[in-house]
Amino acid sequence: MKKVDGFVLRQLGEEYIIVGEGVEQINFNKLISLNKSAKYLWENAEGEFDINLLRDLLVKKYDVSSDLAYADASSLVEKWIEVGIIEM
Amino acid sequence: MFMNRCCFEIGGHSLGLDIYDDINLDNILFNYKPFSIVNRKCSLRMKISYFKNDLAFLINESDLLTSLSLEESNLMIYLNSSNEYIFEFIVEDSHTYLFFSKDYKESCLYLSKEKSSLKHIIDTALMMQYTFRFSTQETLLMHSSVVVKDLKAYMFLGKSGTGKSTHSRLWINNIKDSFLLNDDNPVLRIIDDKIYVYGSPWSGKTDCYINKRQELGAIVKLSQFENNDLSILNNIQSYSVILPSCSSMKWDKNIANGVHNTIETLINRISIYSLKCLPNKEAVYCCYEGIR
Repeated sequence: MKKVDGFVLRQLGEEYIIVGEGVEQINFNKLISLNKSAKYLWENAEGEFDINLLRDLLVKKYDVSSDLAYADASSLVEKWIEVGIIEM
Repeated sequence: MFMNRCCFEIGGHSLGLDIYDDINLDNILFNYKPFSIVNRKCSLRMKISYFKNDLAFLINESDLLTSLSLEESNLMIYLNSSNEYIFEFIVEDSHTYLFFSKDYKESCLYLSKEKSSLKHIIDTALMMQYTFRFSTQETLLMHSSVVVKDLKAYMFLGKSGTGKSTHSRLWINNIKDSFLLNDDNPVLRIIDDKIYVYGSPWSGKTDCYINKRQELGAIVKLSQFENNDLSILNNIQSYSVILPSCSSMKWDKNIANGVHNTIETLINRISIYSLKCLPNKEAVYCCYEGIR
Protein backbone atom coordinates (compact mmCIF):
# COMPACT_ATOMS: atom_id res chain seq x y z
CA MET A 1 0.00 0.00 0.00
CA LYS A 2 1.00 3.65 -0.29
CA LYS A 3 -0.09 7.14 0.69
CA VAL A 4 -2.53 8.85 -1.66
CA ASP A 5 -1.01 11.95 -3.30
CA GLY A 6 -1.89 15.39 -2.03
CA PHE A 7 -2.08 14.85 1.73
CA VAL A 8 0.02 16.95 4.09
CA LEU A 9 0.79 16.51 7.78
CA ARG A 10 0.26 19.68 9.79
CA GLN A 11 0.98 20.47 13.42
CA LEU A 12 -1.63 22.32 15.42
CA GLY A 13 -0.23 23.15 18.85
CA GLU A 14 0.45 19.77 20.39
CA GLU A 15 -1.75 17.95 17.92
CA TYR A 16 -1.30 16.60 14.42
CA ILE A 17 -3.68 16.58 11.48
CA ILE A 18 -3.66 15.44 7.87
CA VAL A 19 -5.13 17.87 5.38
CA GLY A 20 -5.81 17.35 1.65
CA GLU A 21 -3.76 20.19 0.18
CA GLY A 22 -2.64 18.78 -3.16
CA VAL A 23 -4.37 19.57 -6.43
CA GLU A 24 -5.39 15.88 -6.44
CA GLN A 25 -7.44 16.55 -3.29
CA ILE A 26 -9.26 19.62 -4.51
CA ASN A 27 -12.61 18.16 -3.41
CA PHE A 28 -11.36 16.55 -0.21
CA ASN A 29 -12.69 18.57 2.69
CA LYS A 30 -12.19 16.27 5.66
CA LEU A 31 -9.48 16.58 8.24
CA ILE A 32 -7.89 13.58 9.94
CA SER A 33 -6.44 13.97 13.40
CA LEU A 34 -3.51 11.76 14.39
CA ASN A 35 -2.23 10.82 17.83
CA LYS A 36 1.53 10.71 18.45
CA SER A 37 2.05 7.11 17.37
CA ALA A 38 -0.12 7.48 14.25
CA LYS A 39 1.86 10.61 13.34
CA TYR A 40 5.10 8.65 13.80
CA LEU A 41 3.85 5.91 11.48
CA TRP A 42 2.62 8.39 8.85
CA GLU A 43 5.98 10.17 8.80
CA ASN A 44 7.94 6.93 8.49
CA ALA A 45 5.79 5.09 5.98
CA GLU A 46 7.41 6.30 2.77
CA GLY A 47 6.68 4.82 -0.66
CA GLU A 48 5.30 1.27 -0.73
CA PHE A 49 4.71 -0.17 2.72
CA ASP A 50 2.73 -2.93 4.43
CA ILE A 51 1.35 -3.72 7.87
CA ASN A 52 4.52 -5.60 8.79
CA LEU A 53 6.59 -2.45 8.30
CA LEU A 54 4.22 -0.44 10.51
CA ARG A 55 4.32 -3.25 13.12
CA ASP A 56 8.15 -3.15 13.10
CA LEU A 57 8.13 0.63 13.47
CA LEU A 58 5.84 0.37 16.50
CA VAL A 59 7.89 -2.41 18.11
CA LYS A 60 11.08 -0.43 17.55
CA LYS A 61 9.76 2.73 19.21
CA TYR A 62 7.28 1.53 21.81
CA ASP A 63 7.42 -1.20 24.37
CA VAL A 64 4.75 -3.43 22.78
CA SER A 65 4.54 -7.04 21.70
CA SER A 66 4.70 -7.83 18.01
CA ASP A 67 1.14 -9.24 18.07
CA LEU A 68 -0.34 -6.14 19.68
CA ALA A 69 1.62 -3.86 17.34
CA TYR A 70 0.33 -5.83 14.35
CA ALA A 71 -3.26 -5.54 15.58
CA ASP A 72 -2.90 -1.77 16.18
CA ALA A 73 -1.28 -1.23 12.79
CA SER A 74 -4.03 -3.26 11.07
CA SER A 75 -6.83 -1.25 12.59
CA LEU A 76 -5.07 2.03 11.76
CA VAL A 77 -4.57 0.94 8.14
CA GLU A 78 -8.24 0.01 7.94
CA LYS A 79 -9.22 3.52 9.11
CA TRP A 80 -6.77 5.24 6.76
CA ILE A 81 -8.05 3.26 3.79
CA GLU A 82 -11.62 4.10 4.76
CA VAL A 83 -10.95 7.86 4.86
CA GLY A 84 -8.91 7.59 1.66
CA ILE A 85 -5.45 8.76 2.71
CA ILE A 86 -3.79 5.46 1.79
CA GLU A 87 -4.57 3.02 -1.01
CA MET A 88 -3.71 -0.60 -1.84
CA MET B 1 -2.66 54.26 -24.81
CA PHE B 2 -5.47 55.72 -22.70
CA MET B 3 -5.70 54.10 -19.32
CA ASN B 4 -8.05 54.68 -16.41
CA ARG B 5 -6.47 54.04 -13.03
CA CYS B 6 -8.29 53.56 -9.74
CA CYS B 7 -7.00 52.58 -6.33
CA PHE B 8 -8.69 51.03 -3.32
CA GLU B 9 -7.78 50.06 0.20
CA ILE B 10 -9.37 46.82 1.36
CA GLY B 11 -8.49 45.24 4.68
CA GLY B 12 -5.68 47.76 5.01
CA HIS B 13 -4.02 46.53 1.78
CA SER B 14 -3.86 48.71 -1.34
CA LEU B 15 -5.19 47.51 -4.70
CA GLY B 16 -4.84 49.25 -8.04
CA LEU B 17 -6.86 48.70 -11.20
CA ASP B 18 -5.55 49.86 -14.57
CA ILE B 19 -8.36 49.79 -17.09
CA TYR B 20 -7.46 49.93 -20.79
CA ASP B 21 -9.31 49.91 -24.13
CA ASP B 22 -11.93 52.47 -23.01
CA ILE B 23 -13.68 49.76 -21.03
CA ASN B 24 -16.28 51.43 -18.83
CA LEU B 25 -16.68 49.69 -15.48
CA ASP B 26 -18.36 52.54 -13.60
CA ASN B 27 -21.62 50.63 -13.20
CA ILE B 28 -19.78 47.47 -12.24
CA LEU B 29 -17.36 48.74 -9.62
CA PHE B 30 -19.99 50.48 -7.46
CA ASN B 31 -19.25 48.17 -4.52
CA TYR B 32 -15.61 49.38 -4.51
CA LYS B 33 -16.53 53.09 -4.21
CA PRO B 34 -16.42 53.26 -0.39
CA PHE B 35 -12.89 51.79 -0.56
CA SER B 36 -11.47 54.39 -3.01
CA ILE B 37 -8.18 56.05 -2.15
CA VAL B 38 -6.09 58.56 -4.09
CA ASN B 39 -3.92 56.97 -6.76
CA ARG B 40 -0.61 55.66 -5.52
CA LYS B 41 1.70 52.69 -5.80
CA CYS B 42 -0.32 49.68 -4.71
CA SER B 43 0.75 46.33 -3.26
CA LEU B 44 -1.58 44.54 -5.69
CA ARG B 45 -2.27 45.58 -9.28
CA MET B 46 -4.64 44.28 -11.93
CA LYS B 47 -4.66 45.38 -15.56
CA ILE B 48 -7.97 44.99 -17.36
CA SER B 49 -8.16 44.98 -21.16
CA TYR B 50 -9.74 43.08 -24.03
CA PHE B 51 -8.34 39.71 -25.02
CA LYS B 52 -6.20 39.79 -28.14
CA ASN B 53 -5.85 36.74 -30.31
CA ASP B 54 -2.08 36.92 -30.29
CA LEU B 55 -2.21 35.87 -26.60
CA ALA B 56 -3.82 32.54 -27.40
CA PHE B 57 -0.48 30.75 -27.77
CA LEU B 58 0.27 31.47 -24.10
CA ILE B 59 -2.69 29.34 -23.09
CA ASN B 60 -1.96 26.64 -25.65
CA GLU B 61 1.54 26.30 -24.22
CA SER B 62 0.31 25.89 -20.64
CA ASP B 63 -0.77 22.74 -18.84
CA LEU B 64 -4.32 22.38 -17.61
CA LEU B 65 -4.07 21.68 -13.88
CA THR B 66 -7.69 21.38 -12.87
CA SER B 67 -11.16 22.78 -13.45
CA LEU B 68 -13.82 23.97 -11.01
CA SER B 69 -17.37 25.19 -11.17
CA LEU B 70 -18.10 28.56 -9.60
CA GLU B 71 -21.46 30.22 -9.04
CA GLU B 72 -21.85 31.75 -12.48
CA SER B 73 -18.91 30.36 -14.43
CA ASN B 74 -16.60 27.43 -14.97
CA LEU B 75 -12.97 27.94 -14.13
CA MET B 76 -10.03 26.24 -15.85
CA ILE B 77 -6.67 26.56 -14.12
CA TYR B 78 -3.47 26.38 -16.19
CA LEU B 79 0.18 26.50 -15.19
CA ASN B 80 2.72 27.81 -17.71
CA SER B 81 6.36 26.78 -18.07
CA SER B 82 7.48 29.60 -15.73
CA ASN B 83 5.14 28.29 -13.00
CA GLU B 84 2.70 31.15 -13.35
CA TYR B 85 -1.02 30.56 -13.14
CA ILE B 86 -3.50 31.36 -15.88
CA PHE B 87 -7.19 31.18 -14.97
CA GLU B 88 -9.86 30.91 -17.66
CA PHE B 89 -13.43 31.84 -16.72
CA ILE B 90 -16.02 30.37 -19.06
CA VAL B 91 -19.59 31.65 -19.18
CA GLU B 92 -21.47 30.13 -22.12
CA ASP B 93 -19.38 31.18 -25.16
CA SER B 94 -17.49 33.92 -23.40
CA HIS B 95 -13.92 33.30 -22.21
CA THR B 96 -12.06 35.59 -19.82
CA TYR B 97 -8.40 35.05 -18.97
CA LEU B 98 -6.59 36.02 -15.81
CA PHE B 99 -2.77 35.89 -15.90
CA PHE B 100 -0.97 36.06 -12.56
CA SER B 101 2.63 37.01 -11.91
CA LYS B 102 4.47 34.48 -9.76
CA ASP B 103 4.18 36.56 -6.57
CA TYR B 104 0.53 37.49 -7.34
CA LYS B 105 1.41 41.18 -7.09
CA GLU B 106 0.43 41.73 -10.72
CA SER B 107 -2.30 40.28 -12.86
CA CYS B 108 -3.82 40.89 -16.27
CA LEU B 109 -7.51 40.26 -16.80
CA TYR B 110 -8.40 39.85 -20.47
CA LEU B 111 -12.11 40.28 -21.11
CA SER B 112 -14.05 38.94 -24.05
CA LYS B 113 -16.26 41.35 -26.00
CA GLU B 114 -19.40 39.48 -24.88
CA LYS B 115 -18.87 40.57 -21.27
CA SER B 116 -21.17 37.86 -19.87
CA SER B 117 -21.28 37.89 -16.08
CA LEU B 118 -18.70 40.66 -16.07
CA LYS B 119 -19.34 41.74 -12.50
CA HIS B 120 -19.08 38.19 -11.18
CA ILE B 121 -15.79 37.70 -13.05
CA ILE B 122 -14.16 40.95 -11.91
CA ASP B 123 -15.21 40.43 -8.29
CA THR B 124 -14.07 36.79 -8.33
CA ALA B 125 -10.76 37.62 -10.03
CA LEU B 126 -9.98 40.39 -7.53
CA MET B 127 -10.93 38.23 -4.56
CA MET B 128 -8.68 35.47 -5.84
CA GLN B 129 -5.71 37.72 -6.40
CA TYR B 130 -6.31 39.37 -3.03
CA THR B 131 -6.30 36.10 -1.14
CA PHE B 132 -3.29 34.66 -3.02
CA ARG B 133 -1.30 37.88 -2.64
CA PHE B 134 -1.99 38.52 1.03
CA SER B 135 -2.37 35.01 2.48
CA THR B 136 1.29 35.13 3.49
CA GLN B 137 0.63 38.35 5.42
CA GLU B 138 -1.75 37.03 8.06
CA THR B 139 -4.77 38.00 5.98
CA LEU B 140 -7.74 35.76 5.21
CA LEU B 141 -10.86 36.22 3.14
CA MET B 142 -13.46 34.24 5.02
CA HIS B 143 -16.81 33.13 3.65
CA SER B 144 -19.01 34.42 6.46
CA SER B 145 -21.51 36.98 7.65
CA VAL B 146 -20.37 39.48 10.29
CA VAL B 147 -22.28 41.59 12.79
CA VAL B 148 -20.88 44.16 15.19
CA LYS B 149 -22.11 44.75 18.73
CA ASP B 150 -20.37 46.88 21.38
CA LEU B 151 -17.26 47.34 19.20
CA LYS B 152 -16.75 43.59 18.72
CA ALA B 153 -17.20 41.71 15.45
CA TYR B 154 -18.95 38.35 15.54
CA MET B 155 -18.35 36.16 12.53
CA PHE B 156 -20.85 33.50 11.44
CA LEU B 157 -19.59 30.62 9.31
CA GLY B 158 -21.46 27.79 7.66
CA LYS B 159 -22.09 26.04 4.39
CA SER B 160 -24.04 27.95 1.73
CA GLY B 161 -27.73 27.81 2.57
CA THR B 162 -27.22 27.27 6.32
CA GLY B 163 -28.67 30.66 7.19
CA LYS B 164 -25.67 32.88 7.97
CA SER B 165 -27.37 35.97 6.53
CA THR B 166 -30.64 35.06 8.23
CA HIS B 167 -28.89 34.73 11.59
CA SER B 168 -27.16 38.11 11.12
CA ARG B 169 -30.47 39.75 10.22
CA LEU B 170 -31.99 38.29 13.39
CA TRP B 171 -29.18 39.87 15.42
CA ILE B 172 -29.76 43.29 13.86
CA ASN B 173 -33.51 43.06 14.51
CA ASN B 174 -33.21 41.79 18.08
CA ILE B 175 -29.93 43.01 19.58
CA LYS B 176 -29.92 46.74 20.23
CA ASP B 177 -27.19 48.75 18.47
CA SER B 178 -25.88 45.84 16.44
CA PHE B 179 -25.15 46.27 12.74
CA LEU B 180 -24.07 44.23 9.72
CA LEU B 181 -20.39 44.68 8.72
CA ASN B 182 -20.35 42.26 5.76
CA ASP B 183 -22.58 39.46 4.52
CA ASP B 184 -20.32 37.20 2.44
CA ASN B 185 -16.55 37.73 2.32
CA PRO B 186 -15.05 39.99 4.97
CA VAL B 187 -11.29 40.25 5.49
CA LEU B 188 -9.73 38.94 8.69
CA ARG B 189 -6.28 40.18 9.69
CA ILE B 190 -3.89 39.58 12.53
CA ILE B 191 -1.98 42.77 13.29
CA ASP B 192 0.44 42.51 16.21
CA ASP B 193 -1.60 41.27 19.15
CA LYS B 194 -4.99 42.18 17.67
CA ILE B 195 -7.35 40.39 15.31
CA TYR B 196 -9.50 42.60 13.09
CA VAL B 197 -12.41 41.98 10.76
CA TYR B 198 -12.79 44.45 7.88
CA GLY B 199 -15.82 45.10 5.74
CA SER B 200 -15.11 44.56 2.03
CA PRO B 201 -16.64 45.17 -1.42
CA TRP B 202 -17.54 41.49 -1.50
CA SER B 203 -20.81 41.06 0.34
CA GLY B 204 -22.77 38.54 -1.72
CA LYS B 205 -26.36 39.43 -2.45
CA THR B 206 -26.52 42.09 0.28
CA ASP B 207 -25.51 45.68 -0.54
CA CYS B 208 -23.26 46.15 2.46
CA TYR B 209 -19.93 47.68 1.48
CA ILE B 210 -18.62 49.13 4.71
CA ASN B 211 -15.09 50.47 4.89
CA LYS B 212 -14.56 49.89 8.58
CA ARG B 213 -12.74 47.45 10.82
CA GLN B 214 -13.65 46.03 14.17
CA GLU B 215 -11.85 43.77 16.61
CA LEU B 216 -12.97 40.16 16.39
CA GLY B 217 -15.02 38.94 19.35
CA ALA B 218 -15.80 35.36 18.41
CA ILE B 219 -16.40 33.02 15.50
CA VAL B 220 -19.54 30.89 15.41
CA LYS B 221 -20.13 27.96 13.06
CA LEU B 222 -23.85 27.68 12.30
CA SER B 223 -25.78 24.56 11.43
CA GLN B 224 -29.52 23.95 11.24
CA PHE B 225 -31.09 22.02 14.09
CA GLU B 226 -34.44 21.39 15.78
CA ASN B 227 -33.54 23.55 18.79
CA ASN B 228 -30.84 26.04 19.81
CA ASP B 229 -27.61 24.78 21.31
CA LEU B 230 -24.26 26.59 21.68
CA SER B 231 -21.01 24.77 22.43
CA ILE B 232 -17.34 25.71 22.38
CA LEU B 233 -15.05 23.85 19.96
CA ASN B 234 -11.63 22.37 20.65
CA ASN B 235 -8.59 23.20 18.51
CA ILE B 236 -9.05 20.51 15.90
CA GLN B 237 -12.78 21.15 15.59
CA SER B 238 -12.04 24.88 15.28
CA TYR B 239 -9.48 24.26 12.54
CA SER B 240 -11.92 22.04 10.67
CA VAL B 241 -14.62 24.71 10.63
CA ILE B 242 -12.33 27.61 9.74
CA LEU B 243 -10.23 25.98 7.00
CA PRO B 244 -13.12 25.34 4.56
CA SER B 245 -14.36 28.93 5.05
CA CYS B 246 -11.08 30.44 3.87
CA SER B 247 -10.51 31.24 0.21
CA SER B 248 -7.21 29.79 -0.89
CA MET B 249 -5.34 27.85 -3.54
CA LYS B 250 -4.35 25.06 -1.23
CA TRP B 251 -1.94 23.26 -3.57
CA ASP B 252 0.32 26.33 -3.65
CA LYS B 253 2.68 25.67 -0.72
CA ASN B 254 3.24 29.32 0.23
CA ILE B 255 -0.45 30.10 0.24
CA ALA B 256 -1.34 26.92 2.17
CA ASN B 257 1.38 27.65 4.75
CA GLY B 258 0.16 31.23 5.12
CA VAL B 259 -3.44 30.16 5.63
CA HIS B 260 -2.42 27.43 8.08
CA ASN B 261 -0.27 29.78 10.19
CA THR B 262 -2.99 32.43 10.34
CA ILE B 263 -5.64 29.90 11.37
CA GLU B 264 -3.32 28.48 14.02
CA THR B 265 -2.78 31.92 15.56
CA LEU B 266 -6.47 32.67 15.28
CA ILE B 267 -7.64 29.59 17.17
CA ASN B 268 -5.05 30.15 19.89
CA ARG B 269 -6.47 33.60 20.59
CA ILE B 270 -10.17 33.49 19.79
CA SER B 271 -12.98 31.24 20.99
CA ILE B 272 -14.69 29.32 18.21
CA TYR B 273 -18.22 28.07 18.83
CA SER B 274 -20.74 25.82 17.19
CA LEU B 275 -24.35 27.00 17.21
CA LYS B 276 -26.94 24.46 16.20
CA CYS B 277 -30.00 26.59 15.69
CA LEU B 278 -33.42 27.42 14.40
CA PRO B 279 -33.95 30.64 12.42
CA ASN B 280 -35.51 32.48 15.37
CA LYS B 281 -34.67 35.21 17.86
CA GLU B 282 -34.17 32.68 20.67
CA ALA B 283 -31.16 31.41 18.65
CA VAL B 284 -29.73 34.93 18.71
CA TYR B 285 -30.17 35.28 22.49
CA CYS B 286 -28.67 31.82 23.04
CA CYS B 287 -25.68 32.83 20.90
CA TYR B 288 -25.22 36.36 22.23
CA GLU B 289 -25.46 35.34 25.89
CA GLY B 290 -22.97 32.52 25.35
CA ILE B 291 -20.28 34.36 23.41
CA ARG B 292 -20.30 37.96 24.71
